[in-house]
Amino acid sequence: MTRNPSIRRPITVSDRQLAERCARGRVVAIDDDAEILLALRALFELEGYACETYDSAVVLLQALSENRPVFPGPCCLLCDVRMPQIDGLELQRRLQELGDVPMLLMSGSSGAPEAASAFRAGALDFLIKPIKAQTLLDAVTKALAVSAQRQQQRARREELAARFNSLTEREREIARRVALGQRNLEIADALGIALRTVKRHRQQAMEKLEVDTLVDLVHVIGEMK
Amino acid sequence: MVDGNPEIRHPISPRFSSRWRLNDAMIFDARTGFLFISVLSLVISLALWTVLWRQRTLALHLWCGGGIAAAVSSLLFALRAVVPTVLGFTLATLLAFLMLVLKLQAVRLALDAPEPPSRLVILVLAFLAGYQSLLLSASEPLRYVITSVAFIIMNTRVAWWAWRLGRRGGQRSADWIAAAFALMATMFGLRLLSAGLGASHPGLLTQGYDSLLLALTVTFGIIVSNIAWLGLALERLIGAQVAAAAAQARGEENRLLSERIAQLERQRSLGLLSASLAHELNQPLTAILTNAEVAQRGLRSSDDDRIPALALLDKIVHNTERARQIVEHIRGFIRPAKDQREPVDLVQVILDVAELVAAEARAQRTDLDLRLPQHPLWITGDPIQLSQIVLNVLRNAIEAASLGERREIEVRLDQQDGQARLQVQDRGPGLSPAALREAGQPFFTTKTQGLGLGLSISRTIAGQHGGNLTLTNAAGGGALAELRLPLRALRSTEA
Repeated sequence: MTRNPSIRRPITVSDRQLAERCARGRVVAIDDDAEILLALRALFELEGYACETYDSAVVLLQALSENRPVFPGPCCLLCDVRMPQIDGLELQRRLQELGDVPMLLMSGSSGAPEAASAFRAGALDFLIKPIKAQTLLDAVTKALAVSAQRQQQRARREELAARFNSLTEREREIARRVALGQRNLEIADALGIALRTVKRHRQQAMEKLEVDTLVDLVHVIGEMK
Repeated sequence: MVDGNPEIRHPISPRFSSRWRLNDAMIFDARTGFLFISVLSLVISLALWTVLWRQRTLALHLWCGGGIAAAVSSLLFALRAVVPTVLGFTLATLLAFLMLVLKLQAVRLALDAPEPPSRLVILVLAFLAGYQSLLLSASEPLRYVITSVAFIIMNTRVAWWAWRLGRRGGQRSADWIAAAFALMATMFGLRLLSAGLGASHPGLLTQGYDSLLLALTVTFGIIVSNIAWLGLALERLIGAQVAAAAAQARGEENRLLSERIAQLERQRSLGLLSASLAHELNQPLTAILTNAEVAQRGLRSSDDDRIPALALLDKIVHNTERARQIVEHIRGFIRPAKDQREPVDLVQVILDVAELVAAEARAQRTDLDLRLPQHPLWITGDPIQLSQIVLNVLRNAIEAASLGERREIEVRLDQQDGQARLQVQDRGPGLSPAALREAGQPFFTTKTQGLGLGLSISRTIAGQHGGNLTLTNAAGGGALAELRLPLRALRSTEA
């Protein structure tokens, strides 16, 4: 992660490498044991991922609150359930408020209640220490895939929202009515405007939303709700 | 021993000669019998006194004193013809009565149920007054009957109490005392009966079969009762030895048992930490596995300069050492205590135990604030037993802290007045007055899964080390456990 949030600085080779790693995937690991963090970092970096380590959830939340810029790419959280101050389960609850980063929980014990509450809180997987590297990497791959998918979805939603916002009030109204299944004549009657005007607005709205067919328009309007 | 009458100086009174024909013939002179009884009683009493002198119990003194009184009394009876009336009648009879009173009291003392001395004095004085008035006013047969009855009662009482001693104390020799005195009571009864039937002269110093009977009975009584008393003393001596041996065996058994209990408690308390200890052990294992697999993967891939293999191996070694230390700590704690006294650094003991409970404290999200001196504090004791105390106190504190708002525990160690003082204070809810009172009693516990032995065992160990362990409510809230142990007299140079 870049440690310099505010000023722009020249992009170095290590930055480029990091950006590459981040594009492949970023694993944020939290454990109260420094040795485990070092080992995890070695593993993930060997596999070409970027890895950030924190020795407690509190430190991570602090770091998040500083809003440092990050290189784009999928991201997942790998966290021990049993830690001082905030445990993994509680952290997960807090992080859900911040954004949906998929989380993997690790535990030293295979306590059924712990595992059950982890899944209930939305953990993607629950890993029992010591964890085989392959198991861990598989879980991370899956989590990063989920993250990538979520990011794509979000990007698409944001893009659609931008397009939708570019419509004029009238265009938006007409597009909404079209999506509800009203015919052009009905819309013209309801709004007290000429049929030709309705057709023009409808054409413009479809162009701005970048849709070609009526079905696509209905989809986009449905997603915006 | 029953009285005679003043006219006995002329034993066979002409007035009665025709009535007590049976006794006219001189069969056995009672005076000979009394002389013999006197000597026998004196010798046996003194012998018994000498043999049992080391016991020096009041019962023995009373018993032998009674024997001496009987000897003097018998001598006076025998010499009744040549000594003044006050000696031959009053004193002689009184001494005979006193003998019975003393023996009765001796037997009751042996049974731990003595009569109040004042009552004995009153009894003796009452007898004296009664006898004296009878001597002055009543006729000889009446006096004989009344004194006989008094002696029968007293002999029966001695026999009764001796029998009770045999029953209750389980001392069978007492039965022989009872038999001897019962025999004497029967003998007086028979004499009274024969006198009443007119078969014999109602007096003490007769010369017929009744005097022979009296002499034989009393001789038998003296010998049997004194031997029985000796037997009683021996029984008690053996009983005491057996009891002492049993007590020693019990003590030994108790010691072994409490050692075993202490060790079980140690294992149990560690068992309660097992979840967090397993987690603790899992951490280095996780690091080892991951590092090893990183090395494996790196070395398998074509360009093996991608991984710092040496650094990974260093980490593997380091984490293996960590795991070994945890195992070592556990093993050190559960092996049986040697109960040896050796110099122990209390600081090190506390650090070791803090390592053991660190994982548990982390799991409970409790901070352990250790304020230990920079230098070692040497005390004398068994390191394992001492660590048991510390573990108990710390575990209790962690548990108490989890019930409170502020999850922190302060562990202070310092020295004060030649003592090491360890204070463990939590910020939990503290102890209720009832818990404060009962805490440390075996099997008292406020925990659902507790045995209630931890604190009691810790106190015992602290006591064995010449120290103590107290539990109070701290001024600032929460419970405060304070362990004090005497410092080693000579500051060790190992420091």
